[in-house]
Amino acid sequence: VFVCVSLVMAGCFYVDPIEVHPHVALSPADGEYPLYRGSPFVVTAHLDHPYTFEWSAVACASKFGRDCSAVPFAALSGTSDTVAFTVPVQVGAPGSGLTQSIVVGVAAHDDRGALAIGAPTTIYAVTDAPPVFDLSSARQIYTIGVPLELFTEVGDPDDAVANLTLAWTVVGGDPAAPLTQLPAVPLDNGHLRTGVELTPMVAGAWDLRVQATDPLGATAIEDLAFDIALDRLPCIAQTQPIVAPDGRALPITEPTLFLVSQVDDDLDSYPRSSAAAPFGTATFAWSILAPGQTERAPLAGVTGNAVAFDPAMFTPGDLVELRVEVFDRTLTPVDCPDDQPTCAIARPTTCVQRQTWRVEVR
Amino acid sequence: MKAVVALAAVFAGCSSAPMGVDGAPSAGDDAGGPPSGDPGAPCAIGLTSTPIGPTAGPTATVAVAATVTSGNAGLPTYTWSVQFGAAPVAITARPGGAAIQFATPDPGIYDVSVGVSGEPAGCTSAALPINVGVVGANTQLFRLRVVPRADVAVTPLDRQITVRGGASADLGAFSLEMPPLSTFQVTGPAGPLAAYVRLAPVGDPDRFVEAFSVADPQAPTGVRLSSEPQTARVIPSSGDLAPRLFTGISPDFFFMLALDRGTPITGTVRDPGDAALAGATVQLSIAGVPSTVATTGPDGSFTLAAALDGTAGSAVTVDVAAPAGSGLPRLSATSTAFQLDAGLVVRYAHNIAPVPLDATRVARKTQAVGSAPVMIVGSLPAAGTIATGAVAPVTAAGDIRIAAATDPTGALAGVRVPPALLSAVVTVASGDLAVAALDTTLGAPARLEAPRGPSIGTAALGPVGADGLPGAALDLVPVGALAAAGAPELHAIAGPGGAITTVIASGGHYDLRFRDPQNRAAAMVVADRDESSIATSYRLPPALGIRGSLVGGLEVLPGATVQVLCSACTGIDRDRPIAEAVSDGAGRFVVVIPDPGTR
Repeated sequence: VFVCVSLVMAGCFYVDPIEVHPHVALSPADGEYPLYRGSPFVVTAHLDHPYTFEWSAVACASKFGRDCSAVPFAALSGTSDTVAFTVPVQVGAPGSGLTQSIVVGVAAHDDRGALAIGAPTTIYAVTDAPPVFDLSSARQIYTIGVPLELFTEVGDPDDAVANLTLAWTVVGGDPAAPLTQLPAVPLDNGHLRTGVELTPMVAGAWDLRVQATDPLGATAIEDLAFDIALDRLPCIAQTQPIVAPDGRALPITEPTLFLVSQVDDDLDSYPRSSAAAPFGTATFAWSILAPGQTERAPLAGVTGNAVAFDPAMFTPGDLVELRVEVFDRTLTPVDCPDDQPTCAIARPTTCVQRQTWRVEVR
Repeated sequence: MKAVVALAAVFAGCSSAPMGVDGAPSAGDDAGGPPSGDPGAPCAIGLTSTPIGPTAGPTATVAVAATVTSGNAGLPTYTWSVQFGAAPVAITARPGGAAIQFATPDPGIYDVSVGVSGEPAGCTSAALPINVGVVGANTQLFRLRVVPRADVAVTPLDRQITVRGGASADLGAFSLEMPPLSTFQVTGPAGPLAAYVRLAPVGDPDRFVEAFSVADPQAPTGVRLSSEPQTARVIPSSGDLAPRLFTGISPDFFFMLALDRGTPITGTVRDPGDAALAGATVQLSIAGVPSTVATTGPDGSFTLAAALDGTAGSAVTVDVAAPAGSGLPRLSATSTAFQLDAGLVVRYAHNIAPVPLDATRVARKTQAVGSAPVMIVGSLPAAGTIATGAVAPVTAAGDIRIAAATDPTGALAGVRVPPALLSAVVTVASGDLAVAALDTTLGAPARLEAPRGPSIGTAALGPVGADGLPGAALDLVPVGALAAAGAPELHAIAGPGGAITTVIASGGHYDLRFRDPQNRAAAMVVADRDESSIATSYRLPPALGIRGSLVGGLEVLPGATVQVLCSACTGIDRDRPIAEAVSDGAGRFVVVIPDPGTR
């Protein structure tokens, strides 16, 4: 700064500006309160010029910043005005007592070495951290009567997961549904994978609630919502041989195996999708409408997916109808009119439970 | 020797390809070629295993080496994993990490995978299932049939597979052909017509495709055929044109199958008294292709049509079904010597004049079995002759299947049958059948006994120990007289301890077909058993799991039917699945088949 003053004698003086101590204030990041043991903590120093910072933080056994550890649990220096650290669970070594507060201090210097003034140390109260659930999945649809295993993962920043108490309740669906607790599995990240098994016997929206409580009474609640759908109807997915178009017949010249090679069903597919319970397999009912007959004759005892048809049983030129209907465990009647070669009990109409081969013996 | 599977990845993601069951890359593998072009980071990971065809043993080992091929230089880092079933296998990495070795004490599939990181960039992972077999393994041929979902543009697959006993195996990837759509039209003298068409590659009838054509010139029928020349068996829906077998068809974009009226073939049918037999149905089959169907007139004459061109020297089967109620058997004779252009003279043998059964009563102990369906079955080695021109007449066998019913008193009133050793299959009630011997050689018997069906007990046991297989299924497939009468199969499910109890037809014979839906054991067939010869238990053979995957072009094929079938069987048994599965969302499948065992 040059100050020119007109005096009796012309001349200029140089005046150096007077250094003013900078001012600093600390504020935690939004949503940091309450501050939990074992949880991350982010704090920012607010200043109006670039500075260097020397951060330190100590854990204290009192809520008021007393009985503190002599050794900081965090000591950082650099140009960043924001630091993040994890609030220690213990003041010092294990057994030294739970952290009840932390004292964060910062020494800020400007580029000329001036020390900022303001609130260089701040006391933050620390409380017990509740358990944390960290697994949530998209809402799923399951089938009625099928045992379900539902899991969640739970941790606790300042308690051993083995000390958590877990309580599962059905709050939506069938509150009386019995739950079977599955063995909890410790995970690499220190959390616990825990779950229950239940067999929903009521269709609709279900809500399963799990509450985790640590030894100090802090709780967390997780709701697992899912839907239970009615057992859907089986669908004939693939057959052989080819089915003739309406009004026409499949010529059969040699013994032929009529086969339903695939049935789609959520529980009772064919071939069976799983050997485990509750999965089963579809059942089949075959019938035949022989030449000159007006009523189909059931092929009694035939419940498999295939029927052998020997054209030698008939006269060349005979027209025979061979019909199969498929069922799952609900044994829902395939109640379409008899003259319909296919039958879809419900929508979609592409899901048929009946197939009829019209055969011409040749 | 080394087995090499080249795995390729373009940009991120190396695909994997499994080994064939014999240790060599399977024909279906679709590993793709090495990537070309540098943009991004093309990378190929080759996995090499030694020895080829490894076998299990206390000191046996397998070595696997990875070779990374990339346009970019670098020293990759390898992360290996070997699993046997769900269990991890300890591995020894060689210096540099590009090769490993591991012990193979047990037979089965060892799934090797390697992750490649670092430079060159773009390599991710590769996998190689290694089939470790058993010394002295038996081999057995099966057929693997794959029928894709209807909405997938690939052709069915039917090919032989060789399975070694004693060890599960990964069959590798099976690639289903994705040919362009071919269209065809069946035509007759009046234009396009409706017909049934069965197409298959020449010499490979198992890989057939079926279709129905329509009589619409604007609507040709579309099919996807493999690129080989095809045969087409065409049976028109209308009865006035002759069915025909076309061969050597090129599966072009469009092809025509032209039918005509064929060659008229005439003849007569004479009954045992040498009188004209009216109302008989006559059909020929020439090289497996039927003729039209004819019915004899009052003078016993008939005219049918058949496609004869190109059939010289082929076996011709003449089939004559006597009218219902005649009491005559169905005649059938096959010969390559028939002179069809000279006309056919069909004569029933003089000694098979029907015997009336009006005096025969069906009873169960003291109770008449009234209003019951009765099927009378039997066979006669010589029931007539078929003569053509100057050629010596050919003996025709007689097949007797006469449907009848008892009257309210149990009498077979109005029923006539040939004089022969026959069987009567009586349906006393639904599911209550009896097979009764019916000897009419000396006239009609006075009585036919139809005993109540016996309850039989047996058990399905697992391959080892005395463990039963609850839930196992037993299909009792009628054979002999029951089969000839069209009796239905019986089906039973094993209860606790594998115990099976069911009621069979008295006097009936069955094939016992055991299968276990839970795959604890393989399927088993016990041929021709009756009440007295069904054992108290049957031990089902060990099962062997084989797996594979399906691809069509570059896509996996979920939802396809996978069947394992008998390779050596003929007739309908060739079509009976030994094991069935459906490919999962990744196109993978697992089937459980009988273990061929070890020597």
